[in-house]
Amino acid sequence: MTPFETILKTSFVKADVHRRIRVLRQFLEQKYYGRGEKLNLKEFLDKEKVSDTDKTVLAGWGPEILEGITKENAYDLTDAMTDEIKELPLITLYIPFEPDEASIQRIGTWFRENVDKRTLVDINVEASVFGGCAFAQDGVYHDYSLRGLLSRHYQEIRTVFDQYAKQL
Amino acid sequence: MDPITVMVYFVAILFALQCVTFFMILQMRLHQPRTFGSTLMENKAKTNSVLRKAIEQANKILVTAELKGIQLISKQKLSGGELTDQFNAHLATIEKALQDQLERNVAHTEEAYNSFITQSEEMIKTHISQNQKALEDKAEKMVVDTEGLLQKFTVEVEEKIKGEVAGELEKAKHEIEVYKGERMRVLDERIVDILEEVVRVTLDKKLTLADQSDFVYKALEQAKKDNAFGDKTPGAQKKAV
Repeated sequence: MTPFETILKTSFVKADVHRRIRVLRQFLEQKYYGRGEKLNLKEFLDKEKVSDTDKTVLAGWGPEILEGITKENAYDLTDAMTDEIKELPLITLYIPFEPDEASIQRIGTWFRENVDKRTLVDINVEASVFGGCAFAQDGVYHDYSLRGLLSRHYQEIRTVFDQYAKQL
Repeated sequence: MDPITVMVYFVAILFALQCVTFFMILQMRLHQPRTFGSTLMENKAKTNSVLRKAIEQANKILVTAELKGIQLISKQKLSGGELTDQFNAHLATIEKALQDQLERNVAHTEEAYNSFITQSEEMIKTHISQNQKALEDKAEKMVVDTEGLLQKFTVEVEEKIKGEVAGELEKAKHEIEVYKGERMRVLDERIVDILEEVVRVTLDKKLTLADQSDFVYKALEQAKKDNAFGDKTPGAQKKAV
């Protein structure tokens, strides 16, 4: 498994992938080009004050993530990772609440299992998609919120209202 | 004494005095170198003679003048009385003629005035009658014309009002239909908003994060079922982002 596949396996949100690649790059810089004491990944994460979630995820990658990375290819490799992100299927998701890490993982997993195993998600909080969600893919917006549901069943709803109005 | 007589006397005396004065001056110039005594006596005699002659002459003149004055006065008295009588008679005649003429004139004037008044009254009555008739005719014509104009105007106004009312009615009906359609369109658009708002208000506080998360997965499952993640997704609402 390549370093990028390892990162992708544990990161579902596009912003998380970018941030974690950046942290990895900074770690590699201090490892290969930094002056003074060389920190291991755990020590570096503690020093850089990354979030607990990122600490957990990056620590979970294990030493395997660094296999094959040398001083010479460190930059090229991280640049290639950044470029490769642009090639991944991206879905912009709109949900009505602020998701926690568990929800993000669950949603990301769902997309990997049901849409594409390399799918990245760009999650946005949007209150108007109450009762469901909406997403945009390849420039097309899909509304699966309550509003979208009502809009799709607009004629039936109007028929019901008309019949009710006639009874009044 | 009559004034004319007095005047004759006065002229005669004046003439006599002038003669005496003239004579005395003449004697003095002629006999100046003679002796004063003889001359004085002579002159005195002559003077007395002259004076006597002058007095005589003056008396003659006076008598003559008096006589002539008396004659003249008599004549004048005689002719003045006749003249007065003639004048009085003539005056009476003239007065009588003038009175008669005046009476005739008064009578004629009165008659003419009465005639004029009568004619004037008749003319005025005739004029008034004619004017009244003309006025009545014109008034009647005016009333008829006005009535015709009013009827025509009323008909025109009525037709115009009918047209305007019909137009306004049609316009109002059209506006009502437009308003109705607009309100229906707004209501149609608002149906979804209202329903969403009702559901949101009803469920928002009751839904937990887990419930909302479940709705998200259900929505995603539905999208998958609708093949929303493929290129073509029938039944899915799509719009460009």
